[in-house]
Amino acid sequence: MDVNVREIDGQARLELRGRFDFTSHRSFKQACDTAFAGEGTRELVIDMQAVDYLDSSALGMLLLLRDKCRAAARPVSLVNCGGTVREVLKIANFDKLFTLQ
Amino acid sequence: MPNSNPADWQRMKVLVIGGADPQLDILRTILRHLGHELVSDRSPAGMHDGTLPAVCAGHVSGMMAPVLFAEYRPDLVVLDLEAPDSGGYDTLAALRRIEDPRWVPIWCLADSGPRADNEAIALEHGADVLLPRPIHQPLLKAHMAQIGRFMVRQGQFARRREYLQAYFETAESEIKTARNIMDRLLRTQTDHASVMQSWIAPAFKFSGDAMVAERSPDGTLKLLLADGVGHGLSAALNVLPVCRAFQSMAQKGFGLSAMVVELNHTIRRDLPSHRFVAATLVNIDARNGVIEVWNGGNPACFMIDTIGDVTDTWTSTHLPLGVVGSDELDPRPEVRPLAADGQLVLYSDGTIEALDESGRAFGEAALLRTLADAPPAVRLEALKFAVVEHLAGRAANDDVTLALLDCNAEFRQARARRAESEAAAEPAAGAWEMSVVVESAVLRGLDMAPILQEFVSRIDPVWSEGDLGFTRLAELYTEALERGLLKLDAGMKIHPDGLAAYAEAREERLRELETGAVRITVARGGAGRQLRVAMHESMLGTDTSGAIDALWEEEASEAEELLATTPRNILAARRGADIATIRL
Repeated sequence: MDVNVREIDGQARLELRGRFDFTSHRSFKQACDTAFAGEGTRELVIDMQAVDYLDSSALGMLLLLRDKCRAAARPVSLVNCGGTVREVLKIANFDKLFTLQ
Repeated sequence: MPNSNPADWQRMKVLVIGGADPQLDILRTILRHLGHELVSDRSPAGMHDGTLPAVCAGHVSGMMAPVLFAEYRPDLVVLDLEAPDSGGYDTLAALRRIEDPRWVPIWCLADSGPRADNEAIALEHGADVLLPRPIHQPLLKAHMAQIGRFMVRQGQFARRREYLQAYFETAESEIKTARNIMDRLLRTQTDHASVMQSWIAPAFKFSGDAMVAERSPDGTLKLLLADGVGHGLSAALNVLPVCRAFQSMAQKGFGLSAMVVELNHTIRRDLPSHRFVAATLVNIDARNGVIEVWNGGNPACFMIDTIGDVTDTWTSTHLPLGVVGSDELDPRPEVRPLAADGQLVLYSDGTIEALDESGRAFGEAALLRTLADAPPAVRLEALKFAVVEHLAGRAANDDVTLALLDCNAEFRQARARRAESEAAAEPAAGAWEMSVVVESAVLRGLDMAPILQEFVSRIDPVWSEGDLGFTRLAELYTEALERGLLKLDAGMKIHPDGLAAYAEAREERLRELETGAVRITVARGGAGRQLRVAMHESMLGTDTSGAIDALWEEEASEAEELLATTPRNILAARRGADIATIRL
């Protein structure tokens, strides 16, 4: 999975591309660290537009990120969740934990 | 680990193939001088009982070369192509055919013909170096040094390979042991075989999915489909404690709500953070015709009828277990009537996410279509076949679990079990009475029936033996709680949507019990007498402690009176005292 981090007006936007699964652990963690390193970052947005698959390890990584964001009092939201991604998030009831757009 | 000590390669075993030849003798002398060992220097007796005429006076024929090669595994072979009995290129080919995990260089010696032509032919036939005659000593030594460097490398690789091989074998054997232990720990009782069929196909050696079925003492069947984060051993280890806790609670007769809370707690306590487990818990109560389902994070489970129509669906309405604290979790299952001729279908997400070669997922629609098209008895097989065909020989990317439960068989089993326990005569035990006083609020979160059963089984082991003992106690407890204390109307359950409404009302009334305490009394008047369970408001916390004894006596005598007139299921209501009885 490729992750592209962009920062605009205090919003760190992580654009994910490809299969988000247990093999993505390193790239996702690095991207999150980069996003967190930004002094002015007030919120995180995970763009799922180009993610074509999501497994349970990915859900675990999202949970870790959520905890981290909570501790740092930075809101995190998942945007552009379509098709399979929305389906997986819905089954896991992650809409109760994350703002989905 | 690999080392580069020259001592390792300084002494090489060299097989020289050829006869009496001055040039070859020079070569032999140089090799010995450099400290290498010639296979032909070993005494022929030591090699082949002295019966091999082809090995004599240090001469080795081409015919013997493969035998000596296989026997002594030399590090280097020198073949004189022009020696009369060397066998030439045939020997070269024969040596190359011998399997050896090492790569053994073969040098050839030749002198006739143009050198470049000889070299090309020799290399084509599998030689590594062509040494021209007469032997040029500096060239020979340079080649030996090159081989030396090569041997060091080869030694390093060989040791690394051995290390990895040993590691691999240890890991394999540990995996085998672990799998064995895991299978034993999750072994389900065999009596479910006629009721439930399941199939688990791990994506990797271990499955992070588990399907557990356990029968509770009251005869209900509890099912758990658990899918841990990821797959392989780490996922299997996540699922294991969950399954064990589930089995243990099911055996004690706890209800689904208590289980959900406990399993969630187990995961949060015992597993690293965010190793959550998607879980579907099911309670099949065939005797009362009720099914309860709690689905957190698994794909929807279905009830399908004999012609293959979906008659009921339970989508995931909760977070997977272990994600949030138990106080944020709603542990209440959905309660619905149990379809008599239905089949309950449970499966993990690996099933519908199995990809074919073009990357297309199997999908829920295909799953339902496959089930509908097959006769009920072979539905699991049909689905297995469809998934395997979809994968077309490739491994699934996630663990695949399928389970089908035949409700009709479960209904029949429930009937048979009941008849069996009723037929078994229970010998009498003595009289006893016990009571427990708990704050009303406790009743909301705690299913007291298994706890009472635990006590009763100690006091009156004969009575509590088998399904029926527990069932009776659980029934009496429920009667006393729901009709007596909570004043619920059993008639509600008859209406089509009544079960859910009843469960809701029960929940609400329990919530209202905020203050005060409840005394639960279980008693048996003597051998052959009836078991009683009574629940009434307790004097706990009030200042009328002196009145308790008198009050209780009064209630008890009233109960006795009622017992005398009505043999079964009596509900008495007076000052909050409600008594349900049953003839043993």
